Amino acid sequence: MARRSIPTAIAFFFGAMMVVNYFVPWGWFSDRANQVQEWGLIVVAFAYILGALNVMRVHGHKIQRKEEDWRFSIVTIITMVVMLSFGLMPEHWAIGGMERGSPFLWMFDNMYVPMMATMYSLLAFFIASAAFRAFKVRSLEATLLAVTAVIVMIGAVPLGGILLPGSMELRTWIMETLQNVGKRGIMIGVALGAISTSLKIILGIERPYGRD
Amino acid sequence: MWELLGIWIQVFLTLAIFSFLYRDNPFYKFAEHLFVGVATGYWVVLQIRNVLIPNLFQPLFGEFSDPWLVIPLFLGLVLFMRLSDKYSYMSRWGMAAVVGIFSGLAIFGFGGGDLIIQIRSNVMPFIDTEAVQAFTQKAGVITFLNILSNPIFIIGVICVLFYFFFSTEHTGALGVVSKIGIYLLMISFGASYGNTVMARISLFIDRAQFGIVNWIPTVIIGILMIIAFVVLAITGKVDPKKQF
Amino acid sequence: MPNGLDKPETTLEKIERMDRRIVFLAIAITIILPLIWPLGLPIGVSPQVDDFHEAIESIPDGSVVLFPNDYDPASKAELYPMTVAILHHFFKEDRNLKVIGLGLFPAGPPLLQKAFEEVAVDQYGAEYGKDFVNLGYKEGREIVMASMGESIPQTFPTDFFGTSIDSLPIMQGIKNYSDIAILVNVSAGYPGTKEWVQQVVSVFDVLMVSGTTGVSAPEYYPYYNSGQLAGMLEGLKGAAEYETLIEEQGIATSGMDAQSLGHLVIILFIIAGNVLFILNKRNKNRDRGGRF
Repeated sequence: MARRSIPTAIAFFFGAMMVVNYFVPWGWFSDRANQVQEWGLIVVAFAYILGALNVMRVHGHKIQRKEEDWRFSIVTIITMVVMLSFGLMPEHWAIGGMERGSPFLWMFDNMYVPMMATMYSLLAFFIASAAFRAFKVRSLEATLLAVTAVIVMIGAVPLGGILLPGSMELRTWIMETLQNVGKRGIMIGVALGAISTSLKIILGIERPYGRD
Repeated sequence: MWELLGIWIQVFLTLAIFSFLYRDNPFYKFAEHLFVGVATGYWVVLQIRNVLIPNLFQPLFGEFSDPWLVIPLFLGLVLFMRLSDKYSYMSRWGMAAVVGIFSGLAIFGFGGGDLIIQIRSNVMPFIDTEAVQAFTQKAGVITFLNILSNPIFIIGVICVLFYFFFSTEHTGALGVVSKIGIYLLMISFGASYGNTVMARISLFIDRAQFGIVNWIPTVIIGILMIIAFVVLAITGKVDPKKQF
Repeated sequence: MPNGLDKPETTLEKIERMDRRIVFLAIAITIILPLIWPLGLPIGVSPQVDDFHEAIESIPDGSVVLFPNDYDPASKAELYPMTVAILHHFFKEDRNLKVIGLGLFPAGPPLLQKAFEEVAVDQYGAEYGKDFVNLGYKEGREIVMASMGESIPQTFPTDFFGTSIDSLPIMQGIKNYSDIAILVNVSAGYPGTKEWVQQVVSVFDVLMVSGTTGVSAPEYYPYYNSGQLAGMLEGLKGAAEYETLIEEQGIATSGMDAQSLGHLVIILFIIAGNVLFILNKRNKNRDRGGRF
C-alpha cells in the first residue's frame, strides 16, 4: 500500500506546488515553490549519473562475458574514465578544469564534436536514398506531401529563385499559412492532450514513474 | 603540437564514421564506442560541475545556507536504488518528484503558451482588408494568396481539429471536412519533410567544409583507410558486397 | 525473381533497385564540388529573418540580452554559424549590449564559449564578465526556465567555469526576466524554443526571437504567426540570410551553393524514383496482360 501511495503523494505534492504557484505568485509561497523547482533540477542531474552507471554496467558485462565486440567495450570504459578524471580534477591543477586548453575540453573539441556532427550528417545520405527509393506518389495525399516538399526545398535556396522565379515568396506563404494551419491544429490537439495527461499524473490516475 | 594532433584525430574519427556508408566495419565500431565513452564522461562531469556542485553541494555542505537541500539529495540518491533488486521501488520516489514538477509546469505551459494563444490568434476577420488593399495596389499570385490566408486559417484549423477529435463516422459533409483536414496535415508534413532535407544537407556541408579545409590529413587518412578495406576484403574479413 | 515473374530483371528495374551507395556517392559529389568551386548565387532575405533583425535593433543600447544556446554538436552545422552571425550583430555597432549566454543541452556551453571567444573577444575586444558571460549548463529543462523567472542568480549561482556570479560585473543588478530586454534563443529541439515560449514568453511577457534547425522550424511557425516569436531564423539558410543582412559573410553563406545543388539533386531523386516506379509498374501490368 505504502509502496503505491508514497510516489503518488510525492508527485501530487510537487505537481500541485507548481500549479498553485501560478495562482499565488507572491511572497512566502512563491519562495517555497521556487525552492521546490530547484530541488527538481538537482534530482534530474542525479538521473544522468545513474544513466552513466548503467552504461558502465552494460559494457562491463559485455567484457566479462566476452560477448560480441567486447574489445570495443574496453574503449568505451577507458575513455569514460579518462574523461571523468580530467573533468573532475580541480581547476588549479595544470591539467584540470574546463577552460580552453584543458585536456577535458581538448577531448570534447577533438572527439565529441566531430563524431557527433558526423553521425548526424550520415542522415543526409539516408534521406537522399529514401527520396529515391521510398518517396512514391501513390495517392492524392502523397502527391500533396511531395509537391509541398519540393516547393519548400526549392524555395529555400538561392538556386530556386533562378530556376523558378517567385519560389522563395511562395515558400514563405506556404510556411506561414498553408502548412501552418496543420501545425496549429496539431499544437492545439497536443496541448489538450498534454494538459489532461499532466492532470492525471498529478492526481495519481496515471503513474508513469512505475506501478506495482 | 596538440592542436595539430587534434586535427588529425578529428579527421580520422570523421572518416571512421563516414566509412559506415560503405558498410559496418571495425573503424566505425571503434569510433562509435569511443563516442559513447567520451559523451557519457562529459555528461557526468557537467552534471557534477554545473549542477550538483553549485546548486547542491556548495550551499548544503560549503555554506550551510539551505538545510532543506537534504530533500533533493535524498530523492536523488534513492534513484540509485534502481540498481538493487530489493529496494528498487524506492527509486520511484525520485522519479515521482520529477514527473510531478514537469506535469505541473506543463499544465500552464501548454495551456497558457499554446492552447489559449493559438486559439485566440485564430480568431481573425474573414477578410483581411490590408491584404485586399495590397492586392489592389499590386495584383499578383502572392498578394492574391495573402487574401486567402485568413479564410484558410479559420476553416483549416477547424477541419484539422475535426479530423483529430470527432469520433462520429466521417461521411457526407463531415467526410469532406475531415478530408480537408487530412489534406492540410499532408501539406504540413510535406513542409516538414522539405525542411528536414534542408537540415540534413546542411549537416553534411559542415563536415565537407571541414574535410576541404583540412584536406591534407583527409586525403592521407582516407587513402590509408581504403588500403585497410582492400586488405580486409582480400583476407576475407569484410565482404565488400554486403551492406550494413 | 525480384519482380515476381519468371522473367529476368529489366534494366529499369535494376536501376530502381540499384545499390544505394551509388546514391550516397552522387549526393557527396554534388555537395563537395560547389564548396571547392563556389557559384556565388545571390541570397535573398525572408521576412522572418528581417523581423529577427528588427527585434534586436529595437532594444535600447546598453540592454541585457538573454542568449540561451540550446544545441549540441549534432546541430552545430546549422546553429553554430547562426550563433556567430548573431554575436556579430550584438557587438558590431558599439551598442554596449550585455549578453548573458547559457545552454540547456549539456554539450552547448563549450560551443557557445568558442563562439564568444572567436567573435566577441577576438574581433570586437569584448570582455568576459563585463560585456558577456557564459552561465553554462543546467539540468532541468522547463524547470530551469521557470526557476529563472523567480531568480537567475539562484538558478545559476556560478558560471560555466565555476566562478561565483556575484563576482561578475555583468550580473550585478540582474534578478529575473524583468531585467532582460530580449530573449534570443538558438534551439535544436527539446528543451528549446517551444519551452521558452511556453514557460517564459507567455508567463513573463518577454520579447523573444528564435534561431532554429530546419527540422524544428515548421513547428514554430504558429508562434511566429501569433506574435509569441518576434522573428525566426531557419537553419543554415536562415544563418546565411542573416549574414547577408548584417553584411558579415561567413560559413553559412559559403555553404549556400552546396545547399542549392543538394536540394536540386534530392528533387531529381524524387522525380527519378517516381518515374521508374510508374514505368516499371506499367511494364509489369503489360506483362501480366500478355500472360493471362
